[in-house]
Amino acid sequence: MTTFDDRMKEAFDEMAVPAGLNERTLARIEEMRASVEAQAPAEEAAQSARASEAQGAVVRFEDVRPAAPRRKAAPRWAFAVAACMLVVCLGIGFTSWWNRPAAYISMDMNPSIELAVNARDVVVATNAINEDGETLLASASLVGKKCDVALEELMQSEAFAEYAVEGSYLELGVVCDNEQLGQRLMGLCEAACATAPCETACATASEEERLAALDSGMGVCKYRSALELVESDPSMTLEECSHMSMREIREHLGYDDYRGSGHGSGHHGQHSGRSA
Amino acid sequence: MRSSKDIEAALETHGATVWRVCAIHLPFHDAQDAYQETFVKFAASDTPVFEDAEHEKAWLIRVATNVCKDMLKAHARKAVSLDAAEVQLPESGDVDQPISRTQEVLDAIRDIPEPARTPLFLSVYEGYTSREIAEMLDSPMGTVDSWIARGKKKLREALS
Repeated sequence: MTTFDDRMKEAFDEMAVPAGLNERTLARIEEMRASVEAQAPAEEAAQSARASEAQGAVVRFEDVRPAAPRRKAAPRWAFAVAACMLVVCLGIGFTSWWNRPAAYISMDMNPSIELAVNARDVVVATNAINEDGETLLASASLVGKKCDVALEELMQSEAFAEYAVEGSYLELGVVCDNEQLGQRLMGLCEAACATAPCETACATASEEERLAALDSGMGVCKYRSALELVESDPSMTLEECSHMSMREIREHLGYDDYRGSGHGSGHHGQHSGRSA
Repeated sequence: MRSSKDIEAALETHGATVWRVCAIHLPFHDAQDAYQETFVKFAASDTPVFEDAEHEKAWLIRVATNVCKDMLKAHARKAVSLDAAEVQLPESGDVDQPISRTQEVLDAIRDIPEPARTPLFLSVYEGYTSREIAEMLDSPMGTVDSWIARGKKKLREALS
């Protein structure tokens, strides 16, 4: 053993846990335990109350029709102005309806991106969730295209090919409140995944999960996997996971389905949110 | 949550190691917070189930390192200079931290860039191999070797 090593060991040998720190740590943990145990009965009572309310709920309707007012005949020009205004309003309304996202499709591999889709399956906006996502989106012009065309164009781009190599893992997530639209988009995603050269999966997710995922710098599918990893291994953090690829996260979780198993695809999470 | 008995046993068995990991990263008072936070995380979850004491220790070292890194990042965001709090004189009455030799080594280690500190400590003091350290910290073995080599060189220069 060298003098240097001796010196290091002596120095560290002298480092003891400060007096009282273990006692304070235990006290804090026991406070936490008491708090958890105190909340448990309150939560059970709240759940029971909600169940009772649901059973006893009664829906009431009231139908009140006001008397139709008597009108004087309006001048003709007023009708023309009204017609023009109606057209303008309809136009504005249509534009805003057309551009309003009715669903989101997230794509996580590394890169992570998100497509906003309207009720007619048209991509109305795109969002790069990470830097690689920016590179991917820069390679294709997707806004204004039907979702299936957009996905196909994306997955056939050179930029996508650099990431989607054998061994990588791609997951598409559909976030949509409308069941019919959601199912249709899931079908499109599955069809797109069938041609990908890597392992794929598709899933549905809730808006709440989507927002939480974006806050953490991830697409919703990667976020879900990251939560699973952090839950099983508290030494991992969400931030660490946000810098990992889907394959890396799944490797940590112990999934080996990515190892050269070809073009298989998984389909899970039909109902919004995985079971806990 | 883990039982009080398990938590007390972990504090008794691994407390000193966790303390050293926290102390090489953070000033005295922050190190205490990091120490508590590490054991709170340990207590809060029933998983993982540890195969043996060494597995438990490795897990605690990794968690402590991550907690310290998070606190260092938080400090950096607030632009709080750790140098201002660097002189870790224990509060009066707390005689568990002899100053001169330990402080000298601590100061030297804290001058080493952050990713290298834990591997250096684990190699020089705890006696872990590069492979074991690489597995524990989920880093490539070559990187761990490099950190340890550079860290030892810097320490020798600082302490000579």
